[in-house]
Amino acid sequence: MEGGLVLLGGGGGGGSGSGGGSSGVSTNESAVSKVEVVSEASSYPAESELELGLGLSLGGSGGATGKTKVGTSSWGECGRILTAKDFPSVVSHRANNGGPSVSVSGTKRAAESVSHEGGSPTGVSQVVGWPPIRAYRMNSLVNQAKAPRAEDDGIGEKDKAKDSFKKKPYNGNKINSAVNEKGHLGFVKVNMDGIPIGRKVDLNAHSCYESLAQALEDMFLRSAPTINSIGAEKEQVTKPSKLLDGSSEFVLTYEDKEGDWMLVGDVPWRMFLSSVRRLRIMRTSEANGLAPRFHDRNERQRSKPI
Amino acid sequence: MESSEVNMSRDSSELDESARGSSSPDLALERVLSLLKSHRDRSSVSLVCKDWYNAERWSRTHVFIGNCYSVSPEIVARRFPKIRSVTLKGKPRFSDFNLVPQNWGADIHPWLVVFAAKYPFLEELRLKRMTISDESLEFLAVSFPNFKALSLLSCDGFSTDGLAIIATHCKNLTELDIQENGIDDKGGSWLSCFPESFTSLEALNFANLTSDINFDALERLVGRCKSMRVLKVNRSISLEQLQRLLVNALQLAELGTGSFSQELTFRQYEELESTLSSSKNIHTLSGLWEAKGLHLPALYPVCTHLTFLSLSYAPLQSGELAKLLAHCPQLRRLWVLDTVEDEGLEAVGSSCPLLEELRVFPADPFDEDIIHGVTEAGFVAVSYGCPRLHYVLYFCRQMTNAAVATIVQNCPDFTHFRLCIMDPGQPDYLTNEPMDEAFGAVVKTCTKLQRLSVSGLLTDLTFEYIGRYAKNLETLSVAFAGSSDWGMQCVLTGCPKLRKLEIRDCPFGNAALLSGLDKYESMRSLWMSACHVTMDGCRQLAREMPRLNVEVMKEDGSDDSEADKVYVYRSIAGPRRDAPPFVLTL
Repeated sequence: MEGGLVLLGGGGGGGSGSGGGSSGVSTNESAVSKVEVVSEASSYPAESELELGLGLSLGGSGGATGKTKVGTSSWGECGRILTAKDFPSVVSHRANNGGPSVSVSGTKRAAESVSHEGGSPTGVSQVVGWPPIRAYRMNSLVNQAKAPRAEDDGIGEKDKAKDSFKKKPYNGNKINSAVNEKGHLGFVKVNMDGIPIGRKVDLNAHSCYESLAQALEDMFLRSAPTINSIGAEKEQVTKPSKLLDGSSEFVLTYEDKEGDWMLVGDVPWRMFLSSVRRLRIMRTSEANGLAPRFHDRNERQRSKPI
Repeated sequence: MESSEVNMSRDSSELDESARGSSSPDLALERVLSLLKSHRDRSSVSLVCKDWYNAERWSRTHVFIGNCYSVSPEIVARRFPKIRSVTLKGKPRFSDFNLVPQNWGADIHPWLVVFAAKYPFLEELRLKRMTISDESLEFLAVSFPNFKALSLLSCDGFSTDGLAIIATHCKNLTELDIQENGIDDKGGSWLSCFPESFTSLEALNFANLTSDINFDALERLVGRCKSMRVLKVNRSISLEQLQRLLVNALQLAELGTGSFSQELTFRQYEELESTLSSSKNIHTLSGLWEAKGLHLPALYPVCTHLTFLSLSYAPLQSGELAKLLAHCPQLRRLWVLDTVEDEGLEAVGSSCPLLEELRVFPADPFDEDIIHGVTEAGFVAVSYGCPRLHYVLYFCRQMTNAAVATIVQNCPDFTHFRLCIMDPGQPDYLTNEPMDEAFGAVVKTCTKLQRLSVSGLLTDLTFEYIGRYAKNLETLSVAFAGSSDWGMQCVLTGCPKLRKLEIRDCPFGNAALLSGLDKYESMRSLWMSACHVTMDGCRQLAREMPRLNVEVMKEDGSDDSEADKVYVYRSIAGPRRDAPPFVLTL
């Protein structure tokens, strides 16, 4: 079957295909994230890129996925996080089948996403009251992930005003483990404008901004590099990320522990790790206040307090 | 305790306050019996003869009621005239996991009303899984002038306003212990309600409240309560504030540190270190919600005499834990998050030879992408290093039969074995077989086992093993396990000391339910949800066992004949009179 957002076979773009795809989606949740790539790779024409959309095809912009029409110039911009206007045909086409297909896949994606609220495909969080952890503890795990620290607003503030220099020299443990403000294994939430369902990325797995940006582009743009190889130039890992150099429609920003939204890339990586709370892939147009284009970055760096 | 509940039923017909003997032998007996603290001992004593029964009831000052619906406050008050301390448990345990709808019951108020009349000198109230409103807290505060200790765990229905009333009115308060509750936290001003003249507080635990409190008020409170031995503050307290509190409370025995995080100057850090070094009495430490490896060394002096360390809200990494534990040779109880991973648990095994209890909680139970957490290797490592381990609660994502066999071989003294393999119905990940042999090994080897929670892919064989070997088992929790009625039957016919059985999502039906007819009156309760029990089966049970309360909760959209959630318990108080509409008493 075509279209497949789902490994359902995958498939191209027929209306029926998509429709079928979406119904398949709901039943094949667990298979998706792992199998998706494989089937895509084995299937076909570039139209199937629709599937990529699958992953991100939820609501909003109608899917900020990387591809559109067959082998078009979109491939040339594979480093870029695209928006709805990149593939009008897909959007309208989907719109025929509906909101339903989009929302269903959205739901499915929600199931796949690493959000703690969402359902995981394999069942742990689809079951009420399982694992057996007291509701209080469950809530505080959630809050550990999102609540601002009291100290950030209160005491922390007045101490920052003082000339605080780091206490005893700490051992190297911390340096490699990107334990961010949440102390939560280095996983931070990432949201992208136009996409209701967020993802999580493990900062521990990266040692520099490029690598992180690449991972995010992979995550939100396409499911796996193999897709890219279909009829288009392969995604170069060495290519500088469009997200970082300001040449994309989107920029990568982060919320620091003081609650301010900052442009990613200004401070040394380690300092970033210690202050990042979450990430947001923001539309450049909205980021004007904080994310000047590349050529302004140096100026910004000078004026921004570190 | 259980036998004391049975006791109540036998002599409810004998209740006669005036039967108290006045001859000296009875008074002497009362004196002697007043030294008995254990409920089981007291129950045994009360069964000897009528005189002893009377002597016991007049000398008892603390009553423990494991199921608030098993007895009524009137019956309790009639039998025990001199109670000063009450411990009550309400809802079924699975309510902690949202399996029991709101407004199910277990309201403390009717109890308080009776107590106000019969026990005006009541001093202590400890509640678990009860509903208590702010009005009830107010009633409590004004009805009992001698009131001293309030402990609430897993309760709901109240807010910080209620705490404010307690703080304002209870002039003799020694203990205020607010644990993991469904509390409506409206703010921290309650703490400022303790009058300046108030100095009796010995234990204060507000670690699980989120709002900021007035630090000055707290500092003054701690400063003037010279007998304070337990202080567990919440996250809003910074390191610097903690130091200021400690410096005036060096007699503290139990400390909950708050966030334990802040940017400190060198001098501040030194002060903290110095104060902690002087806190030589601390044997229990918790909190550390945001502790960073950076500041943990300040705790080393405290670690030396630590026997209980709770890091269950502190996401430490393995290295940080290892460093800390190297300084904790006396540790008996340790609670951690699975962020410490197997490596962290190896450190447990090598640093804490006296360890008796380990609990490993999952930091992110739903995150499928996380391939962190602990595995069977960590548990095995602990078992090699800690032969005295007898209590474990372990959340993991993979386990093998062989690992569990090794573990119990190393630690045969388990009394509490609670293993949660988080993915329901997951087999031994190496052999793909069910986990039957793992739990078989547990029950065969650990003859003292009192509490068992099973998980993973399990067939009826697990339950055959349990029924055949677990002769001391009192509490069993089962989920997503078993193959047929036979499994549950094995347990019901095999475990002589079984008191609490809670089952969810298992293929046990009416035959299984009814096979326990002879058993349920000697048990506290049975819970079965999402099994194959029907309304007819429940009705039959209710018909044949009139002294049991058989309650069913149905879910929306389920078949009329299905009994979605069944709660069965013995009671001498008859059916509940306060059951909400969704609880059907058969």
